[in-house]
Amino acid sequence: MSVIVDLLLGIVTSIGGFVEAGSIATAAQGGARFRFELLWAIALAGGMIAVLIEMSGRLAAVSGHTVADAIRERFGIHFQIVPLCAELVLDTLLLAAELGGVATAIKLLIGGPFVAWIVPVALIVGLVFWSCGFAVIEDGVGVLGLVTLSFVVAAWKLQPAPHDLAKALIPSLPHRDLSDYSLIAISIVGATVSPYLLNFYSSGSVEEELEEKHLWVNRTTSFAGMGFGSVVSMTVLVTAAMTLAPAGIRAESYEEMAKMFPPVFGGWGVTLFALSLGVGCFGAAVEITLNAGYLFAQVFGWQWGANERRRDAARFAFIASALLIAGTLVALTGIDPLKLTTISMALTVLVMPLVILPFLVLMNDRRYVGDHTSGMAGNVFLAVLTIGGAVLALVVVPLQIFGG
Amino acid sequence: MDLMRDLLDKGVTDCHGHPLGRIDDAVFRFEAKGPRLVGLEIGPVALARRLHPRLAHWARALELKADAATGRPIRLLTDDIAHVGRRIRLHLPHEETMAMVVETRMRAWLRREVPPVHGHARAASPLQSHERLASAVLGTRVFEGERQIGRIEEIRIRDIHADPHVTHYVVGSTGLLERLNLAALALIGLANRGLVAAVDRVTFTGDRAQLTGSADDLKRQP
Repeated sequence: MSVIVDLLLGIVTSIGGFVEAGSIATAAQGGARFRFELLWAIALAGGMIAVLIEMSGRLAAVSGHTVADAIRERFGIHFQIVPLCAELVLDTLLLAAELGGVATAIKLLIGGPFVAWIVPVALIVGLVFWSCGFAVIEDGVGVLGLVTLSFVVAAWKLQPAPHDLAKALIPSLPHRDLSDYSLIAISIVGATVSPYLLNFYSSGSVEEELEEKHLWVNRTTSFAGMGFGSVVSMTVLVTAAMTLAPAGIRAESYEEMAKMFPPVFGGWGVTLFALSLGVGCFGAAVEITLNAGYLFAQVFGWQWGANERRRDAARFAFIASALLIAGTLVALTGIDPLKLTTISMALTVLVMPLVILPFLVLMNDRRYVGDHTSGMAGNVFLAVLTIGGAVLALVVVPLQIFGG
Repeated sequence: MDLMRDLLDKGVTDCHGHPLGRIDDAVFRFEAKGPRLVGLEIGPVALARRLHPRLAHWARALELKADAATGRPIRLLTDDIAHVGRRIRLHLPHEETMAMVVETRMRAWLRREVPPVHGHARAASPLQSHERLASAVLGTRVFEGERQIGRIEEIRIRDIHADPHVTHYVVGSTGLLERLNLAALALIGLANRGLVAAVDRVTFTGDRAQLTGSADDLKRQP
């Protein structure tokens, strides 16, 4: 019975915790500029993250290692130092983007410049990190995040044509603005397949002592949770496509994106959008902070754990806090949170091969996963997508920057 | 037992299960009977030295300035090791080394307590002329005459407790990149198999190793 409860809770928290600044921003921009055409990118990214999350849980359950722990042990520090530094930079930017997202949400609700809300938000994130265990963080974030189901309600009420949605699930090229389309497609993948999620999920699995006999729970949670979460992300795109696109709104700020709800929810629209954005970003901010501690402690062999009292895992706690401070300082520069989100998402795709490719090797090493290895077809599929995405990002990102 | 596969970068805990860090290097003493593993090194200085000598210099200076340790790697002797499994567990409590000085000081600060004192007994002494670090041995170019046949990818030890003498070196095409090379090939179901050379067939001179006899006699790793 408790396994079933854990399973259902796992699915619910995966759904609630799926949508954050990156997925809202990229899906909204995709919908506002290209209507349903980028639905396939969300479906593809959802499939990738579901497979990767299942693999990271499987690694943790069978080997007792987290992703970072296993990469250090298997590949050595000379390799690990590269993705570690890349993730450090990326997670700082992502954290700043999420803090900016929460601050923008508060601005939408209460007013005032968003920069004024950065420090209070960061303090609350810090307080949650220092005082809560893993289950409270994970489940709390997930349950509160169910407010993002308002996107599902909005999309349902707007009654999109099923035929148009089905057609958009097939990858296609746009009729115009190829580089903008490509950048948003890449950013959608980056928003969904964040490298930090792999280590976060495997760390959580170790903390919750996931066992080999419960691999079916891990599989079900990963595919059902990420699957339904992707659906929520798709409804962001659909809602934007049906409310912002006809009005010629390009979703170039969160304030513009907030306009997608009033046509559906009336006077409550902006409030509901702000709550969805704020809660989604807050949860992601806490997870990124926690993962920074996990990452460093596991790479260097320190005591770690959200279920440990912070004073018993001091270096873990201080490193996480240091990243939170760094992210806060970046956010305080006043850089537009949406721009920061877009940059972070594109950089994520560039960094992905450094984390995902060694991870795929681990999933075929019997010393770590025993008989539960991944098949070659799956490896090649994920490797091609990861490398392809990174190559495309290398081409498209400079085009966007230099093409204005 | 293989050094890189079973020991290097593996997590270390004390006798109570407290994580002390990871094995960052190993020390071999070259004796008449052949090279023998005498210790495993952990700590920021050992890690930094493995990455770059300049980093080791900074790590040392930082440790001394913070009065956090001795500015030297922490060397664990083979007799200190109780068990090698998923982690390496020691017979010692962490207080006998400086491995958790920073951690215990931070904990004491959070708890408003006086930090405990740690023993210096495991501070590594400077390398002797007949000692080499594993990080210096791994990746060494191996020659048959004047022809380079590869680099040392792995060091095999008979038994870490009963007889920690080196028995074989595995020579491959990519040396320290072995892990990545194997990784890339493993992605498509292949594996690079290096040549296995008995320890008495390899002599170290300066920054290279010389193979006695023909490389054609060497067997490939299974």
